[in-house]
Amino acid sequence: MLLRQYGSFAGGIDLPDEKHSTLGMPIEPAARQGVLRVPLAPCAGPPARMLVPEGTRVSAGERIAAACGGVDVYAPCEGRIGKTVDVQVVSAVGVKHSPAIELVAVGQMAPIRLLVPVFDWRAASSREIRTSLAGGGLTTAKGHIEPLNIWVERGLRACCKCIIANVVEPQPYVTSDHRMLVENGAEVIRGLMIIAKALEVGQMLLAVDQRRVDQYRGLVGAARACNVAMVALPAKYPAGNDTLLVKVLHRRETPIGKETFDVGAAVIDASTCFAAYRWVACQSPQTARVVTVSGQGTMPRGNFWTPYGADCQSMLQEARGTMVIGGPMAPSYQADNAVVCAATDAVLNLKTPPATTATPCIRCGWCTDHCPARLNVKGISDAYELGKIDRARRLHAGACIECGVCSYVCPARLGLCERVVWIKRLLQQRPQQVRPQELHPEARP
Amino acid sequence: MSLLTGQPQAHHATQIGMDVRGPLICAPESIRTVFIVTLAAASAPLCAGIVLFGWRAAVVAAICIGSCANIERLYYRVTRMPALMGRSHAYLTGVLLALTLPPTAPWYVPVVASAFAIIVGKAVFGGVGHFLWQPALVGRLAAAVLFAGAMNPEYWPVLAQDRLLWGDADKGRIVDDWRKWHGSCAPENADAFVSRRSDVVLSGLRPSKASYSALAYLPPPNELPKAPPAALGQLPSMGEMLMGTVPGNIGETCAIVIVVAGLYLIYRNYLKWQLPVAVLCSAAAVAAAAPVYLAGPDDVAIEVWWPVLHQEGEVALTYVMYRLLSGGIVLSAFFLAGESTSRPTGAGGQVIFGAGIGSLAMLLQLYVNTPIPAFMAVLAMNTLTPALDSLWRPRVLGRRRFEFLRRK
Ligand code: SF4
Ligand code: SF4
Repeated sequence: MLLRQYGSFAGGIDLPDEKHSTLGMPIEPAARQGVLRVPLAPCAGPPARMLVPEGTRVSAGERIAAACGGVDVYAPCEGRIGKTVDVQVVSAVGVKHSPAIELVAVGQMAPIRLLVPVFDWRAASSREIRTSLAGGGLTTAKGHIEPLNIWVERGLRACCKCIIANVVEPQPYVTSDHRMLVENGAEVIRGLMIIAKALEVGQMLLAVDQRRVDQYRGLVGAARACNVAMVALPAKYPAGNDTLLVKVLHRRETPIGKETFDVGAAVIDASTCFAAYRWVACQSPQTARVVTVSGQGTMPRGNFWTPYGADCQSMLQEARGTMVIGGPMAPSYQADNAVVCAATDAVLNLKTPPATTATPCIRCGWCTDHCPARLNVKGISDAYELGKIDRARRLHAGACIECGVCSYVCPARLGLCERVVWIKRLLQQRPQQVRPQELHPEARP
Repeated sequence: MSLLTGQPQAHHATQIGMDVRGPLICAPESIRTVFIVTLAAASAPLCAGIVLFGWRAAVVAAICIGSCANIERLYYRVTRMPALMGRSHAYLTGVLLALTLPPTAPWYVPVVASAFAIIVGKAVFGGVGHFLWQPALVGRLAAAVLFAGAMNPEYWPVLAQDRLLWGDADKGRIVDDWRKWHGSCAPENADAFVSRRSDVVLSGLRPSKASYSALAYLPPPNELPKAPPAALGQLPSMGEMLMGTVPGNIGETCAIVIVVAGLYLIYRNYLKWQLPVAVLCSAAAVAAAAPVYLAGPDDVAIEVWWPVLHQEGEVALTYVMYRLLSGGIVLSAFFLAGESTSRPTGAGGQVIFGAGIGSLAMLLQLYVNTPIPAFMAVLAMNTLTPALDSLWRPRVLGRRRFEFLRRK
């Protein structure tokens, strides 16, 4: 295995790993669900148009809704079509309401099987692959959920030089991409090559965590066959952040408010690569993903092959605590009605932190020292409290990469990450003028 | 927004929720931990001071800690403000204050100093995290001004080797020869030797009638003056300076223990190494470069001695070391300047801050007759902390170097 040592980034911390409980657990099909609520609009844009009437019995992998600007929707397993309901789709950037189609009397989820390729993707042209990527319900899973073909078009327009598959998984507890790579690594690598072909880029990198290198030894052959370079990154949180990955591996810093395409690097995750391979080569649509269920306290732990539309809360069963969708470090969102979608890499049950009174900042400087974006975090937090959005803009709040390190290290337990992320979202949505009165009710004009 | 145009998906996919929730796990260190660990580190030099200066130092420290804690509680009771941060910071302030007081201070000095530290230094600014000047040093400055006599005696005690810890620092006897602390026995009817502090001895290099006779040394013609070796001859050995068996404030003499405790703080990430290094290096540089005036025997002629220009490098080095180890510079570098809140947060700001402290302390020690040069330097630089903080910021990810200088 080619383990090139690359540079690092400023800031960051050593987090407790906490992954041991699910790291070695093989992917199992999720327990049988009573009802699935498959979201019709996981991406932005209008919901998909239903193709089958209520009451029809559908089989696994059958197309049940056609895309109108979003993605096609397929039935994850066999069942009967029910009513249309409203669900929440949680991604890294927020919660989105979406209509969903109920699938009742659902059958058992089939385990991941090796499929026989039916399409010779190695000989296919970029255009053919792009045409193929438009179907299959393929979406990206990090950041905004968007249809994979639109993502590829944007990457093509930006003339990317390299594509990085991000399997670092820096967050504690989360092991879904790791298990995916261990068990289906060859398919992930082929999927990466398919997407790279569509993007017309030559350089392919697979970024993994240094601590898990031993377990990926079996992939060396497949990686070499596909001309993918495997890179082990040091175990410093948040090494797996897209922006930092591009900074470390591609040596380009993403300007504030831009994305990694703008510096010529595409970053994709393991489950999207896997889904792309299964669709393009084997015509099996993306209807499920691996979800890690773990956390503090008692609950059924494991890595489950979970159909889209499974209820997140019910995956934790009786666990008491706070449900977190995604890793425990990044900003998370309250959602009681959330279902599994492409971005749901983990459903965690964490101890609800005790309500503490705010203690004053002692100016220890750790928030700035450890912030990988080198922001004046306390200054932005003060600007938030005073309602001075322009000051926050001058402090470049938009450069935040939403890693949560500042809140983690702050000895005063100030909610720094929430505030910076909140201001960042505000600046993204309305870059021009924001009046203090529109801010948080706490804000003083 | 469509498949055809391939525009980036609109950010309005999600509305700003008020429900952004930060990470649910956090590092084990809270403000309380920070204060308690700093307190533990600061008690190392305090213990050393108690061993070296006997039970009187312990009494001074106990009064400092007790009155800091009680005055803080009283203040918040009287003003009906909720105490912001338990008592851990009051204890820390008490320990830091005790480090800076002389062991022979009468009982009312620590009480008044604590009152100034807590009320003027901390409470009027709004408590923990808001003060500008290090509270313990505010208390120390008030004590130095109000009780100039008691706080700045000419002769300071240090216990004889066989009277450590239990000796009475007030029972002292003047000795002429300082170099024999090691293996010394207590003089008759006394526990301590008293002598002048090393920075006072060194300040004798300044032209002054009182001290020139001891120091004056007329160099042979055509040679650089050699007077400082004569002054250095009056000082204890370098080993004793490092061990702290020299007169001084309770916590400032034992350099070895201060450095070890400071290294622990650096290891715990409570202190950046840049700050003490900047203080010590700049102080050493100033001490090496700054000229010293020597009084000639006839009271009028003044020789100027440049340490770096002295023929023997060893002499200059010894001189610089003595300068560094006297006057509380080491204590300021590791504990008083490095305490959070009153120092700049970034490494760059701290280097400037530390360089300012070191050079200012050394200049005060050299040319101004003040009993607490290093502490005053720290207070002076604390004033500049907000300015230094905004002066030096790291480059934000994704911005080019010196982007603020480029035209938009
Ligand atoms: S400000 Fe943003 S980038 Fe910096 S530590 Fe906080 S969450 Fe991470
Ligand atoms: S980490 Fe917390 S206490 Fe320390 S400077 Fe930042 S906001 Fe203040």
